[in-house]
Amino acid sequence: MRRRRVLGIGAALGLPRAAFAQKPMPRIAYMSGRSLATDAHLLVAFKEGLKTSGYVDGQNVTIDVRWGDGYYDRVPALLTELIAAKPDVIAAVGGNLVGIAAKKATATIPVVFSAGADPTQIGLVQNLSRPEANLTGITLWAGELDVKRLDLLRTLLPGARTVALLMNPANPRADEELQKMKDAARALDMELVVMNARSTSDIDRTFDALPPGGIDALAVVADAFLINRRARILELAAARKLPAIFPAREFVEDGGLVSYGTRWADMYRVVGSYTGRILKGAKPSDLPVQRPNAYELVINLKAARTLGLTVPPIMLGRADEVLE
Amino acid sequence: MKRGLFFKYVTLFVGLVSAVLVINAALDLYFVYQDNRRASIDVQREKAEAASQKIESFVREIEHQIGWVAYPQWAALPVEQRRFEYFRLLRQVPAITELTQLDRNGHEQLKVSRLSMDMVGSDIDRSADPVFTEAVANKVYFGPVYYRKESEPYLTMAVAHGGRNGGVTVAEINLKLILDVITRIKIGEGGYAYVVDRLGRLIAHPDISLVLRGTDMNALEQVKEARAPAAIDEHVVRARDLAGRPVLSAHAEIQALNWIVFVELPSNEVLKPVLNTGLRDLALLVLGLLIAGGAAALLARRMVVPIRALQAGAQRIGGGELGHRLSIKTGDELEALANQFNRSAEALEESYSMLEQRVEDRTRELSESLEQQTATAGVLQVISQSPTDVQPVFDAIAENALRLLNGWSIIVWQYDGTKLRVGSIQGGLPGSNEALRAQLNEMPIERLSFAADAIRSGKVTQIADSEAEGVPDYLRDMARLRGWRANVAVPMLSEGQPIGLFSLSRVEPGGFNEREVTLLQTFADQAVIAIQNVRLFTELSDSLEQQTATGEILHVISQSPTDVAPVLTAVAKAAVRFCGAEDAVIAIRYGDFWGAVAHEGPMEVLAPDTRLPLGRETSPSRAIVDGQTVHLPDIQALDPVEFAAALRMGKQMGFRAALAAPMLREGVAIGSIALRRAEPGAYTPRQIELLEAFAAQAVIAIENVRLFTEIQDKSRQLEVASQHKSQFLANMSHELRTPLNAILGYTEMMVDGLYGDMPEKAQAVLERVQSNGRHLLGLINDVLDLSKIEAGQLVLTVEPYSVADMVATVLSATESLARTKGIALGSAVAPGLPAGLGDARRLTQVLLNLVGNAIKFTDQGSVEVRAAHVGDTFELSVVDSGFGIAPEDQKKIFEEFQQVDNTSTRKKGGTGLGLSISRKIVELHGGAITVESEIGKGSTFKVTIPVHVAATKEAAQ
Repeated sequence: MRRRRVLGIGAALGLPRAAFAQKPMPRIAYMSGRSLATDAHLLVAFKEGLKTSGYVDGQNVTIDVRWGDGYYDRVPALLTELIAAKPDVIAAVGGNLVGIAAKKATATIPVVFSAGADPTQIGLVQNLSRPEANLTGITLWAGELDVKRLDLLRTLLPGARTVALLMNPANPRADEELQKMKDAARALDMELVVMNARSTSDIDRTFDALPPGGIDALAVVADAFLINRRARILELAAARKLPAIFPAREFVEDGGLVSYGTRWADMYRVVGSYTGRILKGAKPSDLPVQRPNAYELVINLKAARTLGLTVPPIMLGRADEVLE
Repeated sequence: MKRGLFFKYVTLFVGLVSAVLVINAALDLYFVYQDNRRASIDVQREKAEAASQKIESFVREIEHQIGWVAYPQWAALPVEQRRFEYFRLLRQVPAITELTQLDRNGHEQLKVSRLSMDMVGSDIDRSADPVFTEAVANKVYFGPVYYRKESEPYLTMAVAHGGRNGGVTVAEINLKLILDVITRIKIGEGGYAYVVDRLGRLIAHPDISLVLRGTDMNALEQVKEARAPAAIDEHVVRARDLAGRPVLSAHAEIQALNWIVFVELPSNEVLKPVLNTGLRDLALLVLGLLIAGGAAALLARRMVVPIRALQAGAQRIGGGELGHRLSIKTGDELEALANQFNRSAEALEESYSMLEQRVEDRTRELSESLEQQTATAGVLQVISQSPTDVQPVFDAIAENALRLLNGWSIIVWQYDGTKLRVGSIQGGLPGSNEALRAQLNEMPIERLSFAADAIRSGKVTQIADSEAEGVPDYLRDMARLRGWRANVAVPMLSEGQPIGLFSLSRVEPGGFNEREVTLLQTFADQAVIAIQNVRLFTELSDSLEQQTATGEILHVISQSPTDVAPVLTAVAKAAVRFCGAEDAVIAIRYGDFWGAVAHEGPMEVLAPDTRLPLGRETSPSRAIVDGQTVHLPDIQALDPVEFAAALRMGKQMGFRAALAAPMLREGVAIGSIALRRAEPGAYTPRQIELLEAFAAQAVIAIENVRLFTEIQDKSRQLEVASQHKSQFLANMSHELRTPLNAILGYTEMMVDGLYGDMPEKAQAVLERVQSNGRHLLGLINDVLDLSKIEAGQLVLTVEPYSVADMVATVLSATESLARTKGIALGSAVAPGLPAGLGDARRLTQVLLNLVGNAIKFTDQGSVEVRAAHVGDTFELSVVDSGFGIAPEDQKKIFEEFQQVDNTSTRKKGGTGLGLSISRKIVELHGGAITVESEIGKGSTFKVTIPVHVAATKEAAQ
């Protein structure tokens, strides 16, 4: 009698596993506008976030990854490809345009985006706390900090007058951003030189277009494409000996002078966790769009020394992290 | 059966253990539950407190950090310094998003932000802002939670710097950063903490998305209750979470912030320990049961096996295997029991075998006995079947004795006092028995000493071995001749007298044991019985014959009372039949002569009317003359002179033996019966006896007839006499009455004066003559009545009558008589008497007689006539107060011509006939007269008669 009971329990336990095994594994479509080279750590962060819901890539979930490599016009086609595999969730990261493309691509498959800009501004969701459709995600709020970055640049370089602003005009609401920057520059007693780049060649060209010696500092706007091309930008900036403020710590880690922005890894972790929750059954409308909690000011002292720059103590006091 | 005990033990044990375990588990569970509950409540409370403390400390820490810059002189510092300090603060406290300095007037002087541009010296007036005013008043101010971009909760905290120049530092706190604190608050497995503001909005929650959505927690009971000011008591409640799952919820307040911190634990987790305990206990229970079961089975087996062995063994022993022994070595009572069993089995075995032996012996004895009984019964049967012949009995005895005793030969003798006569010889040498019988029959006893000893002593005599010392030679020789060695002689005794003997021989030497001797004696007794039987039987049948004969003759006597001839013929027939004669003659004495009156048989006889003179020369007449029985066994042998007539008659009529018995009446012979037989020979005493009996009967018969005839004659004479008497009376009465009437008539006429006047003296005399005459008339009437009654000629005239009338008539008739005597005369007639049916005149006569008597014999007092009706009889009583009648006289008075005392009543007068006539009349009516009286106390004469006289009663019998 007891044996039978044990067997019964065993069978009962075994069954769901079997059933579980028999059910097809959930599928995630990971669409990144950027490239593996620059964003590998972010994918890792995404997977970490996914794990919090108990999903492990390859074990109980399949992740299809596509990289846009900065070419946002490729994204829709890649998305179509991904959608054809019938994913359960789409992670649309690495650029506002990816999220927008995902929204266009599907109205049924849940989408978790990471947006640099305010998602309500770019049309991803109407309400941050209550997404109305199948999209939710995170916002890096990178755009909002552009003004702050100028402010920090001013604090770092009290004497800087002319600041070059590298931006991507293809970014939605670029115009408004520019306007805001101009207003801020005025308040900070700065003069902006706008550098537009929407392609790699553009970056070189726009750097070349800079008047030599007339630029005191560089401010790079948070843009996925630009972020993708950080290596080149850093080179170019270093070549001109331009002190620059970047939107992400990755720049500073790679040799840039200073960055102020959110920790992308943390946000990507949130994307992963949201994806996991959706797989578990949560609805996008239950998950409010999250904004970053913390922003970090990272200063690279080596770069500063290379530039022959003395970082004012106040900046050092302000810095969250100082790299040697 | 085996299941029973084993099963019982196991069940008992398991039941016991499981009961204990179950109780244990239940109690355990209960206590765990209670503890758990208590603990969890306490724990929850503690956790809630702890959580709230953590949250508060988070905020307070920020306040503390701000406090570093909040000293009075700070405002006086240069801008850069202040900015630097603020920057430091920002770096140290990630939760602060913005810091604003308000001077002592409440104007913004410095703003440092993570998000927006820093501002210096904006001088925005915020003096009215509670941020400023409250901070200045209370040193620290916590604003309500507000939401940026509708999703991010923020708290405005303001710390006053103190001092005159103080001012206020206002910090915007991003409450999302409480997330860390909140998520780090671990409550069990699935427990969590969250914070709501005073409006019930969620400020912090492990699931940030809930916070960002601005979830209103007021839907939850626990939140509502916690916010309600009254219900602060119940800090721990059972409630449901947002998903509707039951949770144990505890809360604690952060007073300063007006926040409420909730700590919730899913109920099933609360109960988890209990559940675990329960499961554990269940598992233990099951385990325990199994172990118990196993142990029980084992133990039970151990206990039951020897018991079973006992039972099986006992069964076997009980089933008859008395040799079986139990072997139980448990070293306890069971072993002792088994040993006991074994001992019992042993004892049983012994006694059983002993019993068997005894039974065998007994059976053998019994079968021997049975054989003997059968033999005895067989002999008895032979006896019963041959009541008149002893021979078959002897044969049977001989055969049985020989067989049962394994005898060689047997001889059965009868002994008549001198000689032995062989009854039966069996066995012995084949073919020798006939010769032996001839040899031994009619042997005088002395010739066989061996047998003689037995007969003389009356005891069983044995020869154990004929070859032994001391045995007479002739016996040894005979034994050798006859082929035997052992012999036993058994006398047959009847009332102590030997009447026979039998001797049994055996080939093997050796005595006969007690049992065999007893058997032989039994046979001897049976032989005796047989012989006696035969004798008795013969006697009996003789007796019966005689009775039958007598009976027949008496029957004939009764049948013909008037004719003697048939009787005598019957007697003669009987005599012939029963007396063993061929011829019988009955002779009657006629004075000095005799003649034959009856004859039966073939022989010649005297002619019926022949008369011979009585003499002694023939047997019949001799018997008459002598009055004695004459027995002549052989007439030829008689004295020719004395019995010449007999001789002659004998020759003539052809008889030689004669027997004559006299018929005696009062000692005198009136005749005789003579038997005649052709062959000479004595008549047996029985036959003589019988003949004498017949003779007596013949006498009776003759007498009977004579008497009968006499009676008839006498009767006839009487008849004639009676007739004469009646005739006489009738004549006489008439003759008597006529002159009497004349006398009475004339005297009457003379008294009446028809013949002239009478002188008084003459009248008186005439009256006396009249009364005497009347008296005489009455007497004559009475006598006539009586004679009529006696002659049976009184006839009742049956007619209806009235008792009352009768009584009245009688009374009126006797009234004057009573009055003369001075006696009261009365009557008491019961009312409603039915009409009677009878002879009224006669009855009146009776009543008149009685009343008359009463008056006559009463001198003073009263006479009363009573009449009543009882059943279907009348009771008429006449009660007087006379001098009574003595008991001895009471009968006499009813007799004729009797009065009590002839002397005294002579004085009274009366014929003395009245009562007897009255009685006769009453008796004719079918009634009776009785008298009750005592001397001196008067008398009561009672007449009871049927109301209706039976119609047939007419003539007195």
